[in-house]
Amino acid sequence: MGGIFALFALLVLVCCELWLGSWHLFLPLAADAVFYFCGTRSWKTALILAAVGGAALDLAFFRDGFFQAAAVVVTVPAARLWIRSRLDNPVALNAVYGFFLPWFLFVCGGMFQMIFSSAAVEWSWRMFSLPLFSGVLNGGVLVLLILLLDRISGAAGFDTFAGRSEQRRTNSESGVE
Amino acid sequence: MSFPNRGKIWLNSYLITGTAAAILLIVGSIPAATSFARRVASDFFHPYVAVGRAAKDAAADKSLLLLDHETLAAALAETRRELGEVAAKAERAAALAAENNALRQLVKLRPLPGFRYLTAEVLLFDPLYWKQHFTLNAGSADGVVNGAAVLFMMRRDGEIVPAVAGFVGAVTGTTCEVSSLYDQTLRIPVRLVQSGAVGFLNGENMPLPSEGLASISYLPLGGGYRIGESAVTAGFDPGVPAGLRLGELALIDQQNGIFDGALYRRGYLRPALGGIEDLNFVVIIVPEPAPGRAGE
Repeated sequence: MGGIFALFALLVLVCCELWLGSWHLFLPLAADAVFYFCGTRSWKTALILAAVGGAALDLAFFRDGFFQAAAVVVTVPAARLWIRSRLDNPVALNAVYGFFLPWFLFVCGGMFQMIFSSAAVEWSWRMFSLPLFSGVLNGGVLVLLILLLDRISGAAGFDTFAGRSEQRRTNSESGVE
Repeated sequence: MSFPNRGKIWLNSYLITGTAAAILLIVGSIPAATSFARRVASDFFHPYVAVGRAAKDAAADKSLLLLDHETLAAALAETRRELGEVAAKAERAAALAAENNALRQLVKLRPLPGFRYLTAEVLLFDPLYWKQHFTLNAGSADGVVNGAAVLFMMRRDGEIVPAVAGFVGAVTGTTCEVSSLYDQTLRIPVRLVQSGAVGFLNGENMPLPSEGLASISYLPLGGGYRIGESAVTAGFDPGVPAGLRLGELALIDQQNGIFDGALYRRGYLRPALGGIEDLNFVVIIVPEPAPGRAGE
């Protein structure tokens, strides 16, 4: 059931990302969801969600290749690394990860396109205002999303981000790895 | 001499051959699988994405009702006047088209293909490839075909004139993707009106001198090019009418007749569609089979 909930949440967030994208707002909600489920479930689930969510976005936007899907998949090790070292920190600290996430997707996606596509990528300073603005917004959005998904997961009886964080804190205090 | 690991070697070679065959199968089926998945994904997300558009339209309708009667009446009168002008022009164009086809028959040329005009609305913009492409709410169910020209209405010298926003790149049942002239993968023949030269939009994958331009490659040497001259569709593609406005020539590379060994010149087009965010309603020109050729 937890897997179905994760997939449903991902598809809803993909829809929201499509709407917001039309307003020239690049909010990587699918990648945010991948981060959340990497923390509450396993990195394998996150990897599958990243591939599905990224591919759905690339297909719905009619992009030439699965460059963003590949970039979202690459965020899974980054999310795992962050969660391993920062899960016991306050939830608000995840805003830092949220700030860097659009940058990561933007640069990774661009690099994949440069390597695998015939269309040239034009790097300019003006282009970087998009991930900067998105990063500032996404920092807050990621924290809010964690709280929202925690409420829903808690009500449905699934593992929550706060619960995992609390468990990690307890374990580190009692010396259990 | 014996080979103790002979079985393992065979196993390994089977494994390697099997893996290579599997990779080949997967890589080979990616284009077909992508095309199928794109149709499924676009049609799956279409109703949910269209909800946002419907809400925006509803809000726009409500705000229209807040205007006073005089303003609405004046807008209605203006719209009627513009419609009358357009209807008169369309009638004149239809008469000219009929005359043209009659003349073509006299010199034993095939009649020009007819075109249908479909209206559509922009459904999605891609935040990462903002200027390059967008999605419309019309698909194959409405008769949209690949390669069809997509027009928008621009105001020029006080008149509303159509200009090309892009060309349909991919079609699903309910949506279609339009590649704008800024998309470097879109390659179409372009004719410069005053010099009469023909080049190819985005013919080479070269960096552009500034934003908001698209390159025109393989223009003939000489040519008497003028900055600001209009660029239109060349009409080489039977699915796209000739003479549709694309934009204007913004720059042309300098030519040095003595030391330059180039066989052609490169110019830069400033597309008529400047701010893509202003795009809302568009007209898709869909070719119809010529009379008597429907079965071909």
